[in-house]
Amino acid sequence: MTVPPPMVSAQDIGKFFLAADGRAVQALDGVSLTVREGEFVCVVGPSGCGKSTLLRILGGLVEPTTGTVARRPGQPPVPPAAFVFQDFAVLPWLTVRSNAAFGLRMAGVRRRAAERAADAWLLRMDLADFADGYPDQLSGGMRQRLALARAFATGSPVLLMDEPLGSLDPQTRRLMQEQLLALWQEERKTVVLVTHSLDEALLLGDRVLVMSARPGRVIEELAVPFARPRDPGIQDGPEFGRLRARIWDRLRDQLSVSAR
Amino acid sequence: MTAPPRPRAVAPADEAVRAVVGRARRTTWRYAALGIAVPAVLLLGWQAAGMAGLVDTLLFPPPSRIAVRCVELAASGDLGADTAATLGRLVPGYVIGAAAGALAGFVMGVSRTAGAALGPLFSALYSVPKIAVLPLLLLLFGLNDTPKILAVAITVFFVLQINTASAVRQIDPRLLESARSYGASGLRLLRFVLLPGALPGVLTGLRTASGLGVVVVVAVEFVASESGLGHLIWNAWTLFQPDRMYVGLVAVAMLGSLFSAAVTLAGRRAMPWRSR
Repeated sequence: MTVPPPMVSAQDIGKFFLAADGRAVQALDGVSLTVREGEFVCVVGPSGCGKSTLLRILGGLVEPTTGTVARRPGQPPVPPAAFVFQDFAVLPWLTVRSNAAFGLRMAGVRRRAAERAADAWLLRMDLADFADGYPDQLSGGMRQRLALARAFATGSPVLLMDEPLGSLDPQTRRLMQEQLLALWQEERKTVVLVTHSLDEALLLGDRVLVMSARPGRVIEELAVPFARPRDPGIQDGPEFGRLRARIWDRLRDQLSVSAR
Repeated sequence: MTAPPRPRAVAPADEAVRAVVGRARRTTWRYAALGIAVPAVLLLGWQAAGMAGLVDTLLFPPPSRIAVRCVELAASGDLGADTAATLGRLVPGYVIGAAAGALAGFVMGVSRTAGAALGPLFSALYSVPKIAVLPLLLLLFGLNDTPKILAVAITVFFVLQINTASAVRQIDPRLLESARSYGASGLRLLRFVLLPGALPGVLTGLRTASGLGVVVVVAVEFVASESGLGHLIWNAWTLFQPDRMYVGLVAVAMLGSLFSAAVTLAGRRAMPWRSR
């Protein structure tokens, strides 16, 4: 079997920020990672460890201070990567349809074609009835599905998700995890997902990267052994619990480091 | 076997819904009625006090006499001419000032360089009472409508410039980031994010400016005009015609509230996502 080609790879990434008090803060320290085509990589780590920054660097939204990032270039108008953010970040003044079409419009696709693609994704995301409404009229879960529709509609092969389910209530979140799992199994995109939830990382990911407290480094890399396609029921099995305990052990040390 | 009972629960639920809707509607009506009743009672009290000789009707002519005078002035065409004269200064001044102010504010909000270059200058100029520059404008442009229009425009300009600049800067950075992550830049960023994002602030500025614009146009007409509602009020004072003065006051008040109502309405049409 041939190894799929890398879609995004980062070499020795370091990132310094200027904090509000004027001091330089190191967010990332020597992070290297390669995400191959069709791979689902989850990143967990303590709050403030720079995992969101890493995601933005991978997507080219933030420049690293040191190190290099290589992305496989997209075929215009398809962007090389599409983001899904925690707080939805859909535009309140655009209709649901225009929001779903936003990525394509920004890539230069004409309105009609972009909206046709958007409508297809709204249908898949169960939002077709709300296409002419505004995001304010949607619930949190629906807004998040809209953010997913916007990302998927671009047709981008790489999805970068920053805590995409982080602001949902626990039940909605679990439901969305299962939907995301099903969606990924149909689409086989390359995904990097930053999350606080170890369950989410193990349910969805092929690999889980554990990051240290700031400055963030990758301190553990774990291949998730569950076969695809996965059933959400694996969460209740003993193997799942064992893996979760192993990640939690590594993470706990880092949490106490950052709490100190 | 008997037929299953009809779903009775529907009727009481229906009734409950109707009761809730009815209660909400009655409350709305009650408040609307209160808002009309209080001024009506005050007017009636004024009328009664005037008729009973409790107030000096020379200084406080009863509403009925003001109304009669109002009809007379309207019928003679004087009121219409003065209103038209005032609008002819207010509207062009407002439009010019608002367009220039929104544009300047937008540029200053988007470009940090422009903000740094012009910010201190504009805040210094902002604190100059705009009416104080009227003599200068008269000196520059003579006794015609240009200085009056400009006085309104300058007032409106600063309100719009400040509101627009801060509206652009206050656009949620998370929305900007998300738009940029999808490749929005340049004109597309402007059209899809910056303009609609700043619109609520621009409209706040427009509403504030509509009130101030009326204040300035009337003040300008007091001192440097032979026409307009401001001149009507001022002239009524010099000729000691209190009832005519009140007609002018009422007309200005109505002009002002209609003007800001129109701006508010236009704002609602411009921002359909903010329905309700």
